[in-house]
Amino acid sequence: MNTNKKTTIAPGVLQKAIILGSLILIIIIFSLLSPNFLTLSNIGGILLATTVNGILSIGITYVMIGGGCDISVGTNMTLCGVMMAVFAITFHLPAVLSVLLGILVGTVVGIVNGFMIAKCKVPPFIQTLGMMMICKGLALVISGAKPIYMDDIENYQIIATGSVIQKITGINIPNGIFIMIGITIVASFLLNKTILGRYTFAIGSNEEAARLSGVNVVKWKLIGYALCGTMSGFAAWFMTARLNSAQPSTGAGYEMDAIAACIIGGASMSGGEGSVSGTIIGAFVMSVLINGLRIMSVPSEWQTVVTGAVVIFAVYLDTLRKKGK
Amino acid sequence: MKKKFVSMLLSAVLVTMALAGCGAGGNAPESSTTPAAESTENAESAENVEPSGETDTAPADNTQGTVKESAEPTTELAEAEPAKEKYQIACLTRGLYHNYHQSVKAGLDAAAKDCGIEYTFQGTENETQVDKQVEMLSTIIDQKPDAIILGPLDSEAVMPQLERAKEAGIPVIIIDQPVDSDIPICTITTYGHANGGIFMADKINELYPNEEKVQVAMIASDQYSDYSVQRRDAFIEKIKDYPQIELVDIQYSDGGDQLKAADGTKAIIEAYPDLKVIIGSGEGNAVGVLNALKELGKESEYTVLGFDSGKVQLEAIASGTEFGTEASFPYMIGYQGIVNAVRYLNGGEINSKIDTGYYWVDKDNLDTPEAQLRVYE
Repeated sequence: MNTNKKTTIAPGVLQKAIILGSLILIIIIFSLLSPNFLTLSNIGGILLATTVNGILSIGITYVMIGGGCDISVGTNMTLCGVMMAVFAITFHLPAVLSVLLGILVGTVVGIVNGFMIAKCKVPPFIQTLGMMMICKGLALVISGAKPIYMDDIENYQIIATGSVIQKITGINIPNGIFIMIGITIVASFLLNKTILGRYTFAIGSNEEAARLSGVNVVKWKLIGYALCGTMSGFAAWFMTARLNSAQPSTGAGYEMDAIAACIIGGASMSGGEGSVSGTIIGAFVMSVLINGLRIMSVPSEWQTVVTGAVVIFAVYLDTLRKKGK
Repeated sequence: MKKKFVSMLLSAVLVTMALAGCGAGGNAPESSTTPAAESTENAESAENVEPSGETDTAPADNTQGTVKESAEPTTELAEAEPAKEKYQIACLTRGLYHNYHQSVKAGLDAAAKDCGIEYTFQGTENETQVDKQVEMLSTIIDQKPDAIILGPLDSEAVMPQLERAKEAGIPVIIIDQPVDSDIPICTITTYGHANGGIFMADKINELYPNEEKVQVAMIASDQYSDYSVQRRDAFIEKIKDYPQIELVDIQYSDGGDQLKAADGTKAIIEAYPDLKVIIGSGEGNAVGVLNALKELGKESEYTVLGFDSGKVQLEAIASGTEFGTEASFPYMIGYQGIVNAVRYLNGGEINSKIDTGYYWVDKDNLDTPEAQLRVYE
């Protein structure tokens, strides 16, 4: 275990430096190309646009490090959002309680995923593919396929889009971004400093070895998926706050953006590698790219092409680095 | 071996029977004669699948009505009449989850109630699933309903299925998006999405007649849906008449995703500080634009023009954040779909093209009955 940890530290740092360097490079290029890119309000826009994808991809990071994969996060988020709205609007529960219950729904979905994958040995891709459809369907059934508006809740949007900082300093940095940073720090701590993180890495690197050395693989895998589901719940919170409504049609497809962010951030599809900070940087690379291309009025079609190319390039860089070692 | 053969034979018979049962719909086939009789029938219908046009069998049902052909769409709307029989009408729309489609469905529901029939409602999950819709349509034709109401996602892709419906003698009514074919007996839609684009250009000219430069941005759903493309292209063409109007950018939102529309709007606003007008071409896009302005705290700085309606847009118009919207009439599109289908099946006469039209809704007329009839929450 200890040796395992030692070998992953140094290259991890190097890799993060490469990703961070790329992000900074992209920012420099865009600011040279457009004077409207590096403005305070645009930075605020980028930060806010990253929250949902950032939080989803943190969840997936845990699962990917553990050697799994979760493609149900997008529609799980949709389901959580719809549940929050149902609790708050239909059942008239207090907003805070509704949000917590909604996040709990996400956790339960994650636990079901984890149980089926870890205990019943359903392949992760299949299980979460099925769960993706189940969540999508449930979200539609429960909402009646209609958006549910959060109008009755005063100041619901403040969580994501209001700005405490603006009141103090006058700079409009949305609250959502601080909560995302908070989540990042907690998630990073869990992964690097606790037994959960160490076991997750161990399981992802070599599940059989981890099991033989006495790690309760089923339990820790399940916790990983549960955390991933919880993150979907948090993302749903932001989603509903930004839209001031639960949209049963929005969320499908978000899992792919989140997986792309993890991969750019250095997580490996085969497990055992990755970090929360890398993933967040990956999420920023994606939203900075899209935002910058938009500001330069690059057609949407090409924005997608460029993002796809960056994902492949990021993985290629990573393989080069490994070869070089 | 023998046992195996027998069981194979038995299961083959069973499968054939099951298939025959599906194909024949309500008529329960007599088990003894089924396999042979039905298999020839299946072979026949398999032949019919090919859109060769050779076996142009006359529709079995001769109680069907007539169609008044006209080149120009009529704005005359048909009224509901009670159905003579319990017709089975199948409806397949362009989507399910946007308020627009829900409003179409509300119209279908109301008409079905008024005519005293039942109908089935299906739709694709979003407006890009062309292939899935073709599949769903194929299944519907196999079920042999009395009539099909179809909102095609891609007017070309559904052609082979329309041929099949014709062979099967099932009348098809098209809603939302016209197809270039004479198979559908009737088309009900907002004719001329292009008119919507032209109207927006005129409107902007009307609002800013003497400005030197009016920068306009558009948020549209996608690059392939006919309504999206027609509005966009007509707008681009029309603003050539107005030298002051400059379309600086068009961003797409993956089929009206509100978050993507909002982020796109913000980027445009950053890129063009002199921007004056933002057009949200469709409900999801207009809502995205409004959300973006709200998040930036710039609600009153831009002239927002929308399409369609929905709660958020209506509230924004009432509060002055949105200048106005070009509202189509999805409820009536759905309502007319069923009403015309029933009239045709009853043996009555229907129009071949029905235009439910656009209707400009702004703060001044929002509360009038005309506007309230057309908008949906």
